[in-house]
Parts: sequence; structure tokens; C-alpha cells
Amino acid sequence: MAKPRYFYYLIIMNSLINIINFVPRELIDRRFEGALMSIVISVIVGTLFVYWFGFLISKFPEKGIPEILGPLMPKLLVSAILLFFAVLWYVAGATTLLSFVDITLRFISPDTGPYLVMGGFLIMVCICCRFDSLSLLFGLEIILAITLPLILYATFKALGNPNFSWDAVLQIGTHFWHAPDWMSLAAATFSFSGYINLIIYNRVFQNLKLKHIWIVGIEGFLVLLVTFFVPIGYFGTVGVERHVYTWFATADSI
Amino acid sequence: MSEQPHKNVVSLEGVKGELSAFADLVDNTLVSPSGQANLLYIKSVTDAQKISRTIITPFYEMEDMSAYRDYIITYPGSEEGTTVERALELLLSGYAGLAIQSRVYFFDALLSENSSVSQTTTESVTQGPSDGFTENLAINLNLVRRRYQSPQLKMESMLIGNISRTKVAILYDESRVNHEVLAELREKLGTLKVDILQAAGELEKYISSDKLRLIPKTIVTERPDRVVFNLAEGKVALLTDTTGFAIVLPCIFNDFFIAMDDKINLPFVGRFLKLLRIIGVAMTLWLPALYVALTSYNPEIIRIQITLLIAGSRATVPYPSFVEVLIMLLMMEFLTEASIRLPRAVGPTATTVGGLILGQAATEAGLVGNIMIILVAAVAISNFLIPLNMMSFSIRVLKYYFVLAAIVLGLVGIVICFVGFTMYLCSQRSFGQPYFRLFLLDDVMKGQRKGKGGKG
Repeated sequence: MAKPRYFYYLIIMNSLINIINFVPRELIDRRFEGALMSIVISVIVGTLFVYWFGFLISKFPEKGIPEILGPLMPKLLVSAILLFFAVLWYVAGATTLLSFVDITLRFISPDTGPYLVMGGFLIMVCICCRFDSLSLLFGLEIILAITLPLILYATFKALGNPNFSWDAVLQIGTHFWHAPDWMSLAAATFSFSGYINLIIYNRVFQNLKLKHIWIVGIEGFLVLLVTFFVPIGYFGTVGVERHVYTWFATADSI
Repeated sequence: MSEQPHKNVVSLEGVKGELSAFADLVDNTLVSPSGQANLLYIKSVTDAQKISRTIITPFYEMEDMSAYRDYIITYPGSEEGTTVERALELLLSGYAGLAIQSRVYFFDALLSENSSVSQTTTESVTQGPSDGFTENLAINLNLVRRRYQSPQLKMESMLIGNISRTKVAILYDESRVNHEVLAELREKLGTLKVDILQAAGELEKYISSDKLRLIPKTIVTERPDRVVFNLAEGKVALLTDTTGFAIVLPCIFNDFFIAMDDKINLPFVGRFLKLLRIIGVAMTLWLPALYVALTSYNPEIIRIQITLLIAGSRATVPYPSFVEVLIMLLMMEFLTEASIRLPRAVGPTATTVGGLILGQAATEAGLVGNIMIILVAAVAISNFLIPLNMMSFSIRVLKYYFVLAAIVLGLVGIVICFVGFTMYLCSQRSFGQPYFRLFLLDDVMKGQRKGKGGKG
């Protein structure tokens, strides 16, 4: 059985992958219109969501959503809900994968064929999705243990760079008191949405304890701040909006 | 008869109860007109000839039981049993227990097989014991029992192979072993149908259910001290007759990178050596792949000087970098393989001369770059840092997967391959136990864990 700490890994993973595509874009689009306030609110809302969902699902030890819904609802309804979830997940996964391929082609290896890269990722994903949940959690832990130090190093390196414009950051900070905005609030809470994974992974959690939920809040807040401010610091308050993959352009310029 | 029974006298029956599941326990009753005696000993640690000569023969020759008892008491090295603990200790260290007239005596009959035990050949250490397993099961058991003198060390024996009828012994420490693992192993061995079983590695192949496995999931070792170390961690050891190797299971990925020297050296030296090994594995796995990726796909990642250096050394090379890498890697594999098969006296010479001359000539002819030679040498050397052969061979083959990924997709391929490999390792189970994960974190969180297998 998985220990409760794996729950945090799921959330941390989700908040770290948020920089890949849409979250920074949405936040930065509304940098003058309440993105900052939305971040602050999303930290509170997101943490509450995590706590709430974790609390509810911990009432069903070792059961995923299919097993929980199964005995409670008519079969047809359960299948419909599960189908809906499956489509949702598939679309989310496919979008991430496609944008990943695009990023790879644009920034890492421009001379490889798109189908080849796609194929490579797909083979990996197909191999991995045949493994059981527990193995995937173990793997997630290892991958996080390898990448987290690199991410931290890169972040500190980015913040310590003399070309990082703190003035731009402070300038955005003056828009703090602008009323929050729905789009950026929704985007920012994505960082906390790792708890959704529990609907399947709860099968391997026996006694989920939610003692250190505050870690999720702080971590999510820091990640969102970095997500939001580092591109601004590099490209200036106005320049950031010219990039599609804001963060990869930032990483490239570092 | 004439004496009062001692207060804390031990009975052989009681001792025998403690030693249940000892397949090599011998319990004889000697009966002669003058009386009877019970004889109890562990076959693998005692000398059968000595027992027959000094215990059994006098028993039938002497007419009076008291005289025989006196003879046993006064024989050098024998002692009277007082407590059950002491009795077990004595039995396990090679004494034979003898019950005469409701008293128990222990008679020194230790078997010492010093002459036939040879030094380890494939897992050498600088300091520490250098006994290796031999091809005789009894001697191997003796080597293990002498190092693990606990009544909890149980042994079961089995015959495997319809024709070869190879004796296989399962050893485990009852108080520490995981009984699920044991049950699974028994079931697998029980249903095994083979004709010939000649090597421990062969047995390892039969008992692992996964046919397409890339990495070994059981340790095959020739060091009794490694077996003992693992037994104490609650693992099961399989000793096979006619082969000088034992199988230890279940094991985790980390176990393959523990050399027995680590314990002998100072702690910080041990950690350093372990770190060296991990770096070595990383190098041997990734260097060739990185070379391909960095020269053919992503030269912009490394510093411009290094790029120019590599490009300069490859200036005369007439084909893409992956052909160069494959040629040199294959050449290195040929040399390694050849040096195993060559007669001992010629082996090292052939390798050095072959390696040096081939490398030198190949660069001078402009067929491979200079940097490539350095890289291949580094790969070849670092591969042999892994203390256990099975793993070392696996890693040797695995690096080609990474080279392949680098050929197809460059740096991205390596990353994909690495993630895939990590996930694969995580999905593996060795006899139902997780094979690879951050055991270190478990240790930190729990404070202590029973075994030390996962300590990084």
C-alpha cells in the first residue's frame, strides 16, 4: 500500500507541469487585470479543494471512483460518468502530449520528424500505462527526486540572473489590488488540481492522512509566483505577451 | 540412574523441537546390551568420520554405560549441556549432542573444510573474507552455518531435475524472513519441471516468472558473507549442489551495487565507493548515447569549445556519429568477450595489446575520433565497477537501448528512454516485493527499518 506522502507527489507533479502550456499564458494575459489577486485567492480555494476532496475520498480506502460509484448508482449512469471522465482525461492528455511534441520540435530538436517524436512519446506512454498504480507512484517519486533539484537550481539561477528585471516584477505588483478575474482564477487553481488523480490512485491508498496540507498551499503559491513573475522579469511587462510558450522561451533565454 | 537429575538439565527432544525444519539434522538412537544413548547433530557442520570413530564405535565397544559416560566427559572439548540456548549454540557450532542416562553431553565434532574452500574469483574484495562457495553443497552449508550460528536459520532441501537430481537447499532465518516470499518460492520450486539443472544462474532463470526481463531480480553470488549478510536482512538463499554460486532473493535494485568491502571500509570511504559505482553506471549507460545525441542532434547544448573539439576530432571520420559509436562499442565487446574465453595466461595481453593497437590505429587511420576512444575506454572500465556480474552484464546490454533511442530521437530519445527505464524498474517486483523505489525516504521517515537493503 502506498504511504500518504505519494498523495503530495501527485499534487506537486501537477503544479510543476502547469508551466508547460496554458497556465502561464492565461495568467500573463491578465497581468494588469487581477491575475495576482486571482493567484492569492486560488491558493486558498485550491488548498480547500485539495483538503475537501482528500477528506471525502479518504472515507473510501482502497477504492477508485468506479468502485465507489458502482454499487450506488444505476449501471448506465455510472458508465456514462466514467465515459465522460475518460474522454476528459483523454483530451487533457492528448493536448499535453501534442503541445509537448510541438515544444520539443521547436526548442529541443528541430531536425527530428514530428511523427517520430510523437511515436517516441506514445510508446513510452503506452508502456507506462500498462503498469499498475503503485508502480507508477514509485516511478513518480523517483522522477520527482531527480527533477526537483534541477528545477530548484534552475529557479535560483533564473532569479539570480543580472538580466532579470525586478522593476518589471514590482511594476506588475502595483496591480495587486485589481479585482480577481475568472479565467486567471481557473488557470491558477489548475496548479492544485493534482488531487483529481486520486479518483483512480485512491485504489492504493489505505489511510490517507491530510496533516500537511499547508505544504500544498505554500508550494502551490511559490510555483504560481515563479510561473507568473519569471517570464515577466525576463521579457518585461509588455514583451511577455509575444510568446506562445512563454516559459520555454524564458528557459531558452536563460 | 544413580545421580539425581539436574535441575536445569536439557533434553535432546527439547533441543530438537527448536531445530525443526533443519533438513540436515541427524537424530540417531544407539542401542547396545548395556544401555542406550541418543545422538543428535547437524550433518553439515560435523565430521561424520569423527563421530563414528570417537562416539559410535566406543559406545558399542564399552560394556558399562557409566564408563562410556566418563569417557565422553573426559574427552577433550566435550562439555555438559546446561541450558537450551547453550545447547543450540553448541550444536550449531559443530558439536554432537549425546543423551546418556538422562544427561546431555556435547561432543566436539566440528567439520573443517579449509583445504577445499577456494578464493572468490568473480567478486573479489580488498580486505575481508575471501572464501568462495565451492561446488559441494555440504561444504557450502558449512560455510554459511559457520558464519550464521542461530537456531533460527532453517534449511529445507529439495531435488530438482528429472535427470540431474540436483540437490537444492533453501536457507532462511525464520524470525526475519518474509513468509509470502518463502511460500511463493516453494510453490515455484515445487512445480518446476526440468531435466538438467547445473548452475545457479539456470535456476534463477526458472524461478523468475518474467520471461522478458532486462535486469536480474535475484542476486547470484559466490560469497558466503554476502549470503549471510542477506539472510540477516530476512532474505532467502538458495544453495545448489554442483555449482559454486548461491541465489539470494528477493532483492532490490540497490542490492546489486553493494560490494562487501563497503562494510569493511570506513563509512565515508564506503559511501564514496558507492557513489563511484552509481556514477560509473550512469556513465556506462549514457555516455555513448549522449555522444550520438550531442554530435548529431543537439550540439548547441554543450559549450562551444567542446563542440569544436569533438567536431575537430571527427573531422576525418567518414560516417555519422552513431556508426562510429557502434563500431567502437562492438569492438570493445569483442575484446571483453575474447578475454573471458582466452587462456588465462594470454588473456590480459591480448586485451591490452588489442585495445591499445586497435584504438591507436583506428584513430590514426581516421576511422574514429580520438574522443570516441576515450569514451569507449571510460564506458568499458566503468561497466566493471558493478560488483555483481549479472547486473554488470545487464547494464552492458542496456546501453544499446539508449544508443538506439539517441540515434532515432537525439536527446529527447535519451530522456524518453530514461523515463521509460525508470518506470520499468519501478514496475518490477522481485517475488512480490517492490524492486525499485526511494527506499531511502522510507528509512528516513520511519527512523529505522529492519533490513538495511535500501540504504543508499
